[in-house]
Amino acid sequence: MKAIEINGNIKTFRRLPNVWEDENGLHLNFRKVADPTEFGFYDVVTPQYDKISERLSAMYFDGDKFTYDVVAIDLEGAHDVLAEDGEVIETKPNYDIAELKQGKISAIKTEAGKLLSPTDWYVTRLAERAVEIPTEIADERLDIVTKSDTFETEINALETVEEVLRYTHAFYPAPALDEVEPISE
Amino acid sequence: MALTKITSGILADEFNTSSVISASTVNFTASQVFTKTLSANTTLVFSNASTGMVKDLVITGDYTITFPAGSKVVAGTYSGTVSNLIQVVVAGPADYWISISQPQA
Repeated sequence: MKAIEINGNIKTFRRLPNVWEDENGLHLNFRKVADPTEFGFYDVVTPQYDKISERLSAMYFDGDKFTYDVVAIDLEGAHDVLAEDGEVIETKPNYDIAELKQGKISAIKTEAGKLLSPTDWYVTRLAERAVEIPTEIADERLDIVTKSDTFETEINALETVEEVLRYTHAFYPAPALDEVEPISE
Repeated sequence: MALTKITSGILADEFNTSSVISASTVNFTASQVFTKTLSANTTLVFSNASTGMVKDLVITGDYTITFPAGSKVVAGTYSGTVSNLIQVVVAGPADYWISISQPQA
């Protein structure tokens, strides 16, 4: 990615534009310029950062490239909610841990419901016509519900916002590449 | 006998000749068509351009080519891999409208 600063504003480009106009004229086939820095174009360097606990600052020019600062996010902090006259109405946490947990649990329950739905008809058949659910189907459904309950328990046991944000789950984890059988002819 | 029609035979060189842009100056009163094969990034300079003039530049070469300030592309894209017909219309002082086209495959 390239960027240029014009009148105090930074403009970014996925790559050099093919047509560029500046005070010196109109440059066609501009990507062929030997040194884009002569025109003010510099690389954009994005530092590595943890997307959960850190964010990037506004982009700035540091002499030979455009880049960002990595800024820690105050996950456990709070902020004031002000009335129109500036009076503090309440102080709210930056992240509501209960809300975050509820969101994760809700997503898990939705996913469990989707996993159960293809075999729901076995349950309906059992209720309507007393036809037994095959053992493997019953086991599969129990496994899904058990895992869902386990995930919910794990989430409820988390104590910090960061723990909740970092929490991931998988009903059926994808196998690692070295566990995948090669395709044979 | 009075001349009642203008024929190509009496037109000046600027209307019916072609010349190679040897350095970087395009003299609008020298030819109608200008050709150039780029061998490096090149900045063109227009001289003797007057409002209403229209010139044709046939330019080849995969390099950056810079037109004078006040130029604007109104159609087309320069391609470094084929010949480009670049038509320049002088719409006013330092106001050049540029159309770019290539041979159809």
